[in-house]
Amino acid sequence: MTSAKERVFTFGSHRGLVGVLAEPAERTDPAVPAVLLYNVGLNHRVGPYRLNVDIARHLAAAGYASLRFDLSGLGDSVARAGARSEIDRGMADVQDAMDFVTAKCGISSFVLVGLCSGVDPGHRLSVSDVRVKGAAFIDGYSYETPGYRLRVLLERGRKLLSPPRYFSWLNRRLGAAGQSLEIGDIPEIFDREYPPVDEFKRDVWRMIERDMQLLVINTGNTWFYNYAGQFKDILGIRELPRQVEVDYWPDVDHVFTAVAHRQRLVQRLGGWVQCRFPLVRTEALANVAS
Amino acid sequence: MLPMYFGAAQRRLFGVYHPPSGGGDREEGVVLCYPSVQEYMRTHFAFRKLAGLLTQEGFHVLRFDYYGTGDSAGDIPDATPAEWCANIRQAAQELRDQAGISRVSIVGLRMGALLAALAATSDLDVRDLVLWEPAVDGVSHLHELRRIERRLLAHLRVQLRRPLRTGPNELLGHPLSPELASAISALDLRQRPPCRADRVLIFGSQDRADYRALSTALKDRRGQPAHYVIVPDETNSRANTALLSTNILRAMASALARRAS
Repeated sequence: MTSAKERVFTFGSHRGLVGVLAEPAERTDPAVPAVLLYNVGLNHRVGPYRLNVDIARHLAAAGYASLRFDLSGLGDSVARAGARSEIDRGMADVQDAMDFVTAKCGISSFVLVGLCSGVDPGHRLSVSDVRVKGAAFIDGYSYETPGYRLRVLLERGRKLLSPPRYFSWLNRRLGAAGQSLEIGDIPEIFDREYPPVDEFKRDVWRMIERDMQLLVINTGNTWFYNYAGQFKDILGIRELPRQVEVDYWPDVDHVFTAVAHRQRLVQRLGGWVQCRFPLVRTEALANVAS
Repeated sequence: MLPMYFGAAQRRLFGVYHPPSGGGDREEGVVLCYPSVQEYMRTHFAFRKLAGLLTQEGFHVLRFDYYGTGDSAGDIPDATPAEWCANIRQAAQELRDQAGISRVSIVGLRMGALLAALAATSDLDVRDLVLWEPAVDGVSHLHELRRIERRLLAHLRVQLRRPLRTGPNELLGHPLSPELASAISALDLRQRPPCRADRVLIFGSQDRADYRALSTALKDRRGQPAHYVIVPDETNSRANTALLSTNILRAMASALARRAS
């Protein structure tokens, strides 16, 4: 295992974006994609509990370059002028990041990692920008299905048929509602707009048609998602296409609070990148050259 | 604004240098010290805002990540409070070198205030030392963080409909080894020699007995007690006391500017 070589840059068309380029200590292979990591909600680029730093260093040790950066107006990056929508600004920022990595490292293909609101620009670019070869969407878009609604009803039924459990549940809810908020439990202060489900399905099929690799992970906090096979049901298919992997982690919270859960995500992402975008080993290249 | 790495190759620190922006240059600097890693994310934006207010007053500003936190090298299990105090000294020197100045003040929040005061009561010479909602001692700080963690886990239990399983050596989502917990618990500001500072200021949003006691216990280089300044939180939210309040940021920036002019 090699360690990461990290450098900080300002870049972008308005020179206002700040990012840390993490590269393998020995050599960056321009033939494999670089991974782009950016803000989760209003957190700055290091990510919740330093998640993006852990991912970047793990990937660098495995031989992959990454850029973790702040979208304009967040973290250390300067806001862009102009009245574009938040999602358009996010897309422009990610495209600036791709241009920067290409100029700096010669890498022209990319894997986007989006968590929660970070999925919004990532999803749109995965449809429209052919440089995006892979994407990991964590707690991204999800939609109610008959299976989802059935599980919600069963859960409610279990509570009603078990009075002690119901009162315990009610007390917890009331207790949580009655408490004043602390640092750790401030709710999200922004809202997200999901694309309509038919548009989402069309988008995913377009990604698959151009052979984009997709990793979807949903945690126990994902809105409208409550069983392992739900992604297939949303798409209306029985088997996932070979380009797509889907995990459901109901024991994990939205920002991966437990150290073991972050390690699980780092390992899962790292393994997926290595499997879907294998490095061409230096020795192999040398053999080809000779 | 200049983001950069500084320090020794294997233990590099990430920092952001902000030059004066308001037209004037006081030829003085301010180093901003983040709180402990558990509170770092929620305070990042307030620090960026405070840096902006200070540069408008003509200060050179450096905010930086301690070793094992943010974008700096290393991981928390390898870090110690002694190293974080050394990081504050490094950052002060880096700001002097970067800006070509000699006079530097420090602003530290919560555990950052505790660490800054420890550095200033040993060998760090500063102009003003500003302790913003300081952690007075390590034991009560960890106790408070554990209380916050219990509430967070209760909240997540409701959301996930099951308990969130965390490891035995974690605190608010970050590793906390028994050794690090013990080292933090040993920190105490209440019985320290005078600070090597012209002025010591304590900023809080409420009248607190422990801050009143601290203000008499902690002395500046002339033996004068610390000034305790109460700036009520305009957000009226317990959740974000001091962390998102703009009034306290403005009050600290203008207190530093008044002294420097």
